[in-house]
Amino acid sequence: MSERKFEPKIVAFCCHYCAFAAADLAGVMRLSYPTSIRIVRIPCSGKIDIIHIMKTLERGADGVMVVGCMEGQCHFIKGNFMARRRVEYAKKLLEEVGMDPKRLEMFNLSSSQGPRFAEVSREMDARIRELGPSPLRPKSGSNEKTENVKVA
Amino acid sequence: MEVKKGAAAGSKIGSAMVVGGGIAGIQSALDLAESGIKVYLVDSKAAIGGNMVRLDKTFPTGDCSMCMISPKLVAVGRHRGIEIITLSEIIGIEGSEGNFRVKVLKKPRYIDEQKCNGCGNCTNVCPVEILNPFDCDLGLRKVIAKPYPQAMPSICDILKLGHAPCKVNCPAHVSAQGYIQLIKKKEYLKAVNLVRERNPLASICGRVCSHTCEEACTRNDLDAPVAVKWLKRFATDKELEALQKGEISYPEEKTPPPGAKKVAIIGAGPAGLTAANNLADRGFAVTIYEALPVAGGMLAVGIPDYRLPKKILNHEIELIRRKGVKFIYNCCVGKDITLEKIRAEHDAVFIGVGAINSRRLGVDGENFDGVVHATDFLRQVSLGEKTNVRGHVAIIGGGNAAVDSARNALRLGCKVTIVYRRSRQEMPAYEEEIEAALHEGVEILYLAAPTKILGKDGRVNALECIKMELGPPDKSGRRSPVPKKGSEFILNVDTVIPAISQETDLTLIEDRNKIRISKNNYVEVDPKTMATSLAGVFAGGDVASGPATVIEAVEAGNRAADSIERYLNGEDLNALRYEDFVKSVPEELLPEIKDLPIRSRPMMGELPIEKRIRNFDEVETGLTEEQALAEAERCLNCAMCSECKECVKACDQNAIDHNMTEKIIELNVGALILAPGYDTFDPTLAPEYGFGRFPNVVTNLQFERILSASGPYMGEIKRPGDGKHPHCMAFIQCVGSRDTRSGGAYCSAVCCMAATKEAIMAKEHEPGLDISIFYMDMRAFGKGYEPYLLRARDEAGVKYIRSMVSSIVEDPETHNLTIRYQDESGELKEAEFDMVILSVGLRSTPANRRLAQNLGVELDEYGFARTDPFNPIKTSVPGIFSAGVFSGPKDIPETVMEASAAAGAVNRILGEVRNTQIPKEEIPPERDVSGEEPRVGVLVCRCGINIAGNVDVAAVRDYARALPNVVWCEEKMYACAQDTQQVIKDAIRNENLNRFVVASCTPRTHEPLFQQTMKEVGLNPYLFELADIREQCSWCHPGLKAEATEKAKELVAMAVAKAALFEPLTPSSVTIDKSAIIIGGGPAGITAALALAEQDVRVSLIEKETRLGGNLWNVKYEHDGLETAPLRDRMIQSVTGHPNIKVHTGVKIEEMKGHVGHYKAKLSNGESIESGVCIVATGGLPYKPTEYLYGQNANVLTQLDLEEAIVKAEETGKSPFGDKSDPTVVMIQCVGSREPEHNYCSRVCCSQAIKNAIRIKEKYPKARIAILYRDIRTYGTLEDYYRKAREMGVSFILFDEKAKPEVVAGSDGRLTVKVHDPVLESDVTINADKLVLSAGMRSEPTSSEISEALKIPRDEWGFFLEAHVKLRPVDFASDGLYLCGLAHSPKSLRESISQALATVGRAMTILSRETVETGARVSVVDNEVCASCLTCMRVCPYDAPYFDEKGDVHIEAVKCQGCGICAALCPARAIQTQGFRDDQILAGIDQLTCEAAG
Repeated sequence: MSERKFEPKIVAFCCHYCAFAAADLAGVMRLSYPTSIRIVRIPCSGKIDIIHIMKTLERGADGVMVVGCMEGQCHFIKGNFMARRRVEYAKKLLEEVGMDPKRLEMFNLSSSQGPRFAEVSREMDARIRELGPSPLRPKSGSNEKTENVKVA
Repeated sequence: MEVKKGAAAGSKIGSAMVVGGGIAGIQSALDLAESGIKVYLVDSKAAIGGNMVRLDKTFPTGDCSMCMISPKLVAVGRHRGIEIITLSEIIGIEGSEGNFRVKVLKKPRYIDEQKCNGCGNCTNVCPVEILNPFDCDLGLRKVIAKPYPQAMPSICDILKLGHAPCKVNCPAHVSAQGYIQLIKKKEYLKAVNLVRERNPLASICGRVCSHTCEEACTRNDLDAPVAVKWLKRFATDKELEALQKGEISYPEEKTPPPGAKKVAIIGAGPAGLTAANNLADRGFAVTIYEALPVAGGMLAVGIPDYRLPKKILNHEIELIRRKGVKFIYNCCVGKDITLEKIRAEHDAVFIGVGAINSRRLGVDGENFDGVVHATDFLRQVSLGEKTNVRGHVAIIGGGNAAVDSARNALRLGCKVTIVYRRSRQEMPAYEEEIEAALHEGVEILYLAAPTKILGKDGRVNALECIKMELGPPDKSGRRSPVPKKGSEFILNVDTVIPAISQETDLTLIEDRNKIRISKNNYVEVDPKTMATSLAGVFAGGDVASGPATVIEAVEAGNRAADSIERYLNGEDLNALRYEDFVKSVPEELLPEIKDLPIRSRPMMGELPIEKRIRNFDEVETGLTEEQALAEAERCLNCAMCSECKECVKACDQNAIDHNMTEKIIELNVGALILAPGYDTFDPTLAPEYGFGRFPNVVTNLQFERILSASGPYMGEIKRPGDGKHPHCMAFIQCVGSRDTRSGGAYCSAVCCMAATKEAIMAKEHEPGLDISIFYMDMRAFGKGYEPYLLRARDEAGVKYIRSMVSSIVEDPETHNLTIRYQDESGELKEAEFDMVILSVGLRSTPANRRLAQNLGVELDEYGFARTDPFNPIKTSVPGIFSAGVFSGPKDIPETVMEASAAAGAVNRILGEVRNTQIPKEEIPPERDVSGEEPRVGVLVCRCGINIAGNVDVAAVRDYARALPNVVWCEEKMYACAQDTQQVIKDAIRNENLNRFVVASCTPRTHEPLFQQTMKEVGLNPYLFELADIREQCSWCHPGLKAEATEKAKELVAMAVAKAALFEPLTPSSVTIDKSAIIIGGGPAGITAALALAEQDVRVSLIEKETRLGGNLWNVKYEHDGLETAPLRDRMIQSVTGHPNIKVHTGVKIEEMKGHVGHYKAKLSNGESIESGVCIVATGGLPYKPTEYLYGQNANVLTQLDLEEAIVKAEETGKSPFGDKSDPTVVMIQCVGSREPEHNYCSRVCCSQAIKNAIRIKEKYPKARIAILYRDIRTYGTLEDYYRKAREMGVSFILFDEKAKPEVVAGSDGRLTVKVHDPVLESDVTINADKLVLSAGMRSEPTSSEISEALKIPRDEWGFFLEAHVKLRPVDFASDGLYLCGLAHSPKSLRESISQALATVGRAMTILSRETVETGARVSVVDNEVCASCLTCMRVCPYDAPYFDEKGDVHIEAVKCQGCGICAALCPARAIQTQGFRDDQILAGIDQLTCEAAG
């Protein structure tokens, strides 16, 4: 057991039109959510690639969220459906390589759901805290990634 | 007045004004600006967005309203061709179409729109919270705030109605509301400072003020005024307490600046002290000459210690002294020094010597020993001198000096009687003082006046008085006392203190020719400026006004100080002064008090009698903190903004100006589009529903806010009354609609669907919720509405109850609501609900009526704009167009269509002067950075305290400086400030930077600004990246500064790593072929063709039939009786003869290729035509029924057949009913519509049936007509025709979808119609001469071919599917393709025309240009890697990938929207999306996941 308190790192891929806007609104409304969430803006959740998810986990993120528009309301018509399929597929891959698929989740938000963004962020943070650090996390104090399991 | 643009009369102006910033105005503005016409977007509110921004979701797709509109808000905000003018109203117009001069009245925002950056520092410090109008008064907002989080312009406004009555009624205009609000927030020192801005004697006035503020308090009409004076005292006591505890200390002693001009103040009373204080503050050298050994004037030697302790007085004098004011005591001007000398030694003089001599009674015996004048007595007591007052004391008079003398004498052990000549009611002393005096044992003898003072041995021993009675009122309004003859009596007294009035001593004024004296012996001054007749000499206070109150003296001092400053600076004394800005809140805008709870005013603590009547200790002990805070809560914030000025201090940009005034702007425009929107019906005007009285009755707009995730309850469904979650709720439809009593006889068109949507959304929030909708007719007439309604009813389980609601009754205990209603069988019923939502109708507004009047635009009886029968956007004034609800209730898609149509119409007028008013962008040539190593500049923004308060900005800066490739990094207060843009440019130039990163706020609003800066300094704008450390760090991690700082570092590192990999991106451009293909030659296609052709667009009009006109051959007349044939003939004639239109009849489109700018079509006749855009107007078909014996019995017709028969009959004079003058006609609605296989409403059939029924009734008044219906869907003002038909005696019989009418024909061919009438609860049988079927509308069978040829989608019934149901109702997803008319969905002729014009407005955004730029962040294919697997072609929603001649796959940049879906799915990873390349994303992720930042 590590002596240091576990502070998760969760990368949230947010689509520009809804999810990113919802995160903006959460900020504007001064809603507090865990500092573990780091947002990466993408044009559409449909842009999310298995590679991006896998590499993000490989590089030591403890969790990944893909956040798109509400179903049926994708700015690019059907991108979020494709994203969901890909997230489901990536989860299977994770299972195969022995990583808990719960480290990855897809959410759908509308741009006015600032409070919901904060809520799913808290949910994800709690989930990852329960799962503990990623097995691929670089060991602290060393620059080497010792468990450099190739997953993609 | 500000004149913006000038132009010679008669010439056309390439700009337009759009009035109203709702979705209609936004769409018009964007369409116009995109087509090169400059737009002034004028909105009466502080931000654009209209009502749509308040909606939670929209029907029938359930799309989030804000998601849809906010990108448009941003687009409007950053468009160079659009100038937003907020808080403005049109007040006048001159000129004509093509060249108008419009006068706009801009109301003050009190914030400089150029300076405010929306940082919100002001909002944080504002103490005033009021009901939030954006949340329909359900939540609270600060009076200074952004109207809503996504507001455009993204800046704050101040809700200010004027000034509160308390402030207006205070002689010195102290902001009482302001300091009360600060007290509420426990900001006591700030409260005191606010008082001192207008009144340096805050602590003193907290004790002895006449508090005229309280007289004006709005609470007077409810319970009792707010205890303003006591609150002020409470705050000042807190200041003293803090001083005594050492928490604060006295300010440093100041000396006047060297060379300061010198001002002499004569007299250290309240007027002199105030003037001295203000002048010292403004940098003058002030000397006060005081005859007495102490300062304060009457405050020191008039008001007794038990009311105003010396400690308090001296405290405030000390504060003034420390400002550098010099006091010279014991110096009586006129005796010890001459006024002349003082004038010679100073630059200006203020005389404030008061009125300190007691007026003599003028009776015998006044010279006896023992007659002591009040002013002398009070002075002696104050200065601790020996007095000659003893025994029984008679005090003559009823003012404050009399009562003060009485209570002083009492404290010296005397027996005291006040002799007053009138009654208690007329006594001028403060009521509380009289009370206290009586309480302490002073006697008052009313209605008595002294006639003689008697004495013995030179000393008073008695007073002879006479009884008085009250006569008629005198000049002061008080009844004048009249002596009662012979009623003299004797009072045995030892001392007499006359206290009847005070007089001035003007011995200091030697030359009364220079300084004029009034006949009352006061110094004559200008009441506004306090200037005497001698330049440089001012006077104020009692010496000029006669005896008055402290606060009046303070105000005199204020005015004099202002004047002296102006005098010494050589400015106009009379120019706008502070007092001129103090305007009272209009009475009608004062807070509504009638339903407010009564709350009592606190009792002031006092010393008990025994502890006070033998000493001079302060009697009043002040309010407790608890009392004060509770009392402050009683303030109603009458003016909204209290002008506490905390915002002014908090604003780093100096943007706030509370004295801003309205101004008139004159603008020169070529045309106007009016889209000012609507108000909802005020349900308090329908008292039976209890709105306003029952807290759990809300309007549907309020319910939208309740549902909204960012609304007052964060999306939780709660009852406003008690916050409980409701279990069952009801909607009541048609509140203020279809109701002649309320003035809204029309149907509001949107409420049925809005309620249905809200019910579905509420069910999504709380699945167990029981929801009933009480309605008359369910009007789901729009595209996709009927299935949505069925989903609500059949899947979500929403109960629809056809009924008439009579009233709502509230259970006073549970606050549940019982709805009383009549169901469809007429039975009276009741049902109880936890919450009731009123679907309030749409109304024109008083502002709309004013607007129409000012522009000369005609309105109808409901206040909606009257428009051309065949052109629904054309108002009665040429050059002025209407869009949206301004011309009648309508939903969002129709509103958006009209907005584009209006833009199209403006284009027709101003096409020739396009691109003349929008300023050209001056940008330097782009620097070539290829081959350069990345040199990244980073700017970290503090955003005032928004970021810096919770992120260690310096640490982020230092961290960024050490990042690879970073060569320049600084922090700034505001990254978005104009001067910072210069800093960025200088850095890029000086450091030869080739990438730039700003760490500040959201890229959604601010990226374009910084990209523009990049462009201006010659760098490609795509070499820029933004790291959001505000929304994503400082704001969402409050109290976690260390963690937020670490995260900010990572985000900056990510941005830098990505930026280093950025490459310049250049949008390619495609040239535009200025031509259009229009498919379909019906009214829609012809309308579009003509409108485009008039703008020099070459049009190919393709019609598959051999003749033009489409459905215009079928529809014969409109509801108002207007014939359509002339319109049809006119239309056909104009297109066939038009030089820009080539008509192709009898041909079809077989194939279509290309993209926006260049489409290429192959026709069935082998011809090939090209165009820049394509409009699909292929129409629809009337349904040919197979049911109800249609086609089998000659007396069964469709509505169109009937129409034809009627017209023919009118031409030939032969009745369609033979010789029968009283024929029976039965009409059946929804034939072929709202059926399982055609599950949509055909929209027009109800009004068509009614139109024909009215026509028959007019011709054959004895005809019996029955219309069998499921719901009558006469939306909008069509409702008037429904009402008219009912009034004419047409009967309407409801039938259920499960019990359709039965039709049988007898052997003679006569028809019998049987239907079950649920109202009568029995079967009705009618023998009909004619049966008319309202057959629905079908899609055009050939639309499948068009769909394939153009690759455009259709819905399940074959109607074409627009890009977005709500906001892109005439666009296809691919640019340059548009849709209108029946090909889109069933609609009326007017609506088809309006939609056709909308396609023109949209098409002109493309056709008005030479070229169109593609997006820059598009996807590109690497053909080295591409395996031509076709995945991209399959997944692209925009049909962008294509094969070139060599067989290589490319992505058509002009079609690509940059979503990146193809890139994510490309198995060979051959596709990359520019700006979001894999290497860029992953380089960023590396920075997020590595531990370096930690």
